[in-house]
Amino acid sequence: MDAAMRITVLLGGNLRNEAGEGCQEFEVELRPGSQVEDLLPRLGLPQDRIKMIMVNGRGATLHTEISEGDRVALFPPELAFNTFVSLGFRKESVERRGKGKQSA
Amino acid sequence: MRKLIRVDMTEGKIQVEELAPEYAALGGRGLTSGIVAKEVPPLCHPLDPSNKLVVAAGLLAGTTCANSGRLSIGGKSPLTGGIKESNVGGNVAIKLGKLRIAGMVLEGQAPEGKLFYLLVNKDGAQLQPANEFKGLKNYDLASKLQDKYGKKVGIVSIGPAGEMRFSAASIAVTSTNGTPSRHAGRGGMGAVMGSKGLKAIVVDDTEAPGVTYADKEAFKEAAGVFRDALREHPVTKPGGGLAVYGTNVLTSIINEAGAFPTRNFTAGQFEGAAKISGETMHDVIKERGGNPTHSGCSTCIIQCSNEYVDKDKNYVTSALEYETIWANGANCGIDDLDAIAEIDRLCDDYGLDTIETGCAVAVAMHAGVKAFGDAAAAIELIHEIGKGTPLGRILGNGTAVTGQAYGVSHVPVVKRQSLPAYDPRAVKGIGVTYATTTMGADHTAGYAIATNILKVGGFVDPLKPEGQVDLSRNLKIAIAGIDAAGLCVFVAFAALDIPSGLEAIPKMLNGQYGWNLTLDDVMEYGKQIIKTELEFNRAAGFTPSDDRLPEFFSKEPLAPHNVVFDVTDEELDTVLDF
Repeated sequence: MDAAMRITVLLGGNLRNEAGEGCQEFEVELRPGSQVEDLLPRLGLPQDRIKMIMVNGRGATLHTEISEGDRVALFPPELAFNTFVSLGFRKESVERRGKGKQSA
Repeated sequence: MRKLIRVDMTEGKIQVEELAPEYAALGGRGLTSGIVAKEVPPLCHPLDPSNKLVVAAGLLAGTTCANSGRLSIGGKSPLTGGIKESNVGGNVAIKLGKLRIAGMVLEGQAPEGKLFYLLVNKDGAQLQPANEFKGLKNYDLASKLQDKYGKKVGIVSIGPAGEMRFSAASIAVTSTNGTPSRHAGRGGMGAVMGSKGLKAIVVDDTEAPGVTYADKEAFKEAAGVFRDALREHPVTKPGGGLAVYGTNVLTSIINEAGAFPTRNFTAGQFEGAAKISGETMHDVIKERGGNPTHSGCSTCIIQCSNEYVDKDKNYVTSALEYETIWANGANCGIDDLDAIAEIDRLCDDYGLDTIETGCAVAVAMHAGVKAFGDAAAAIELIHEIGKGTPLGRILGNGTAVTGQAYGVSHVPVVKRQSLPAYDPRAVKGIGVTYATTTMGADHTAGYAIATNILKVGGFVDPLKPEGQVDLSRNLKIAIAGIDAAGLCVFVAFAALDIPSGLEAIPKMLNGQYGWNLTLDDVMEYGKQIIKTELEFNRAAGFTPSDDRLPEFFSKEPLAPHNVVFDVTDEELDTVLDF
């Protein structure tokens, strides 16, 4: 098995409580080559609690690949409002875009 | 038939008239901008008698429609020199609706040194001398007026900043619990009110006749559908994002996206964001026994407001909001929530726009007047404004004046109004809106809206210029329609994600007024409002070169994405081409 990589996770709104984390921001170790999707079981969060994803501050999908040192932010549906549109994280577009592609 | 109250402050005369046919279909921003465009000379000085202050309830005010309690306050802005509609919640608009009053037009100017307040009730309106209230701050003023007229009246008022006619002066409106904590902040409308010699308007709806309905059943049905949409959507429903975290829910998101303007727009992420975020604020308020979920505006079911309390559980301010927390927090390098709450309270009390004030303080810090991050110094500066010291007068006249006074070139304004809490380099659609709105840099026009409903297809990447012009144009039109109805801008999240909720808006208007509006008509109505405003601004001397962001946004890359604003001038000029 490859050496684990370390990433930083930020959980918006109540997700930190749902994940049983004491704070909003913390570090996690993941297998190299992991995608955002792989992070969710680690945190105990179901997919339907995630509406907006950012990797290093840019719009991302469940299939965005994560690298060592990345920062992954997850926001639940109740937080993803106007910015969901104005920042361009529309659900359809997120779903439409393919694996590993980011918004910019 | 709705009425218009005209108050001639020069002569002290009041006339209650039926709404003229040309204004009969107008409400909220439609009515303020309609009257200002027709009756105010575009080249007048905003503080001269020929300017008018128009206070209007939205079309749905006084009905049972949820979130219909927004009030529009219009005139020629002393800050921008253009037309202004400053929008505010609170408990006044629905009282006007119940009294069947569409709006009030304050004209002329009281004799030098005289101060009045206006009492509005079921019998009409009266001017009363207010010299005893001279120099009073909003909280003291509200409590004196409530002692006299009861706790339930609605009050529209100015503090010392408005009396001193500062361009950052706001107009306070009482919250549902009577505190003067809702503000028509933008554009210095408090200075216009001050220039009229008007300290307050007291609205008492005791024994008000109530709203009439052309088809009450149809209205009730549509209002029910609309309410259901708000209760269903995750952002607006009870226990939803806005109810739990307030508008400050945005701090984490915008900071994460690298669009959180920090230290006078020199960075896009603030290292202290977690200390002032909505999540932290929620925990602090709850821990201290304050109220994180509060209804500040009549008919509101979203409840984005909160009541912030200090360490000793004493009330400090209500609705500590995202824009305030950003302007006086990250933008000044301050990460102390208690200090920001105190600044918010002081701004509400002196009667100041928290956005303009925070941006002016940040520019002063940029100039080295005080250090970024020095919360105690920021609080001192707000007191300087309230006292009207020479430094306070500079800051109280806004960001552009402060930049000028201290020789700073890094001044984030459009049409001399300071930018709100999204950096236009990292959220380009909002940058387009800031540049091209008739109001000067204003975030509310870009504050919502599902692009598919508005027929703007596809994905609009915040970091790229493509597609931003269409997005911004459609947002502006829709928001103008929402403003005219007197609805809270936050209804858009639900209405535009849930089609039945959106369709309910014209249905409610039809049920109330007996009209036959379609959704397209509401959009057309929004277009007409913007066209009216554009014509006024052109006549006031604005040209396309005023529809630009300051040059530094296209020159200085913003960390962490290292982006500049790169929507071209040619593209910007097509935004209002409809």
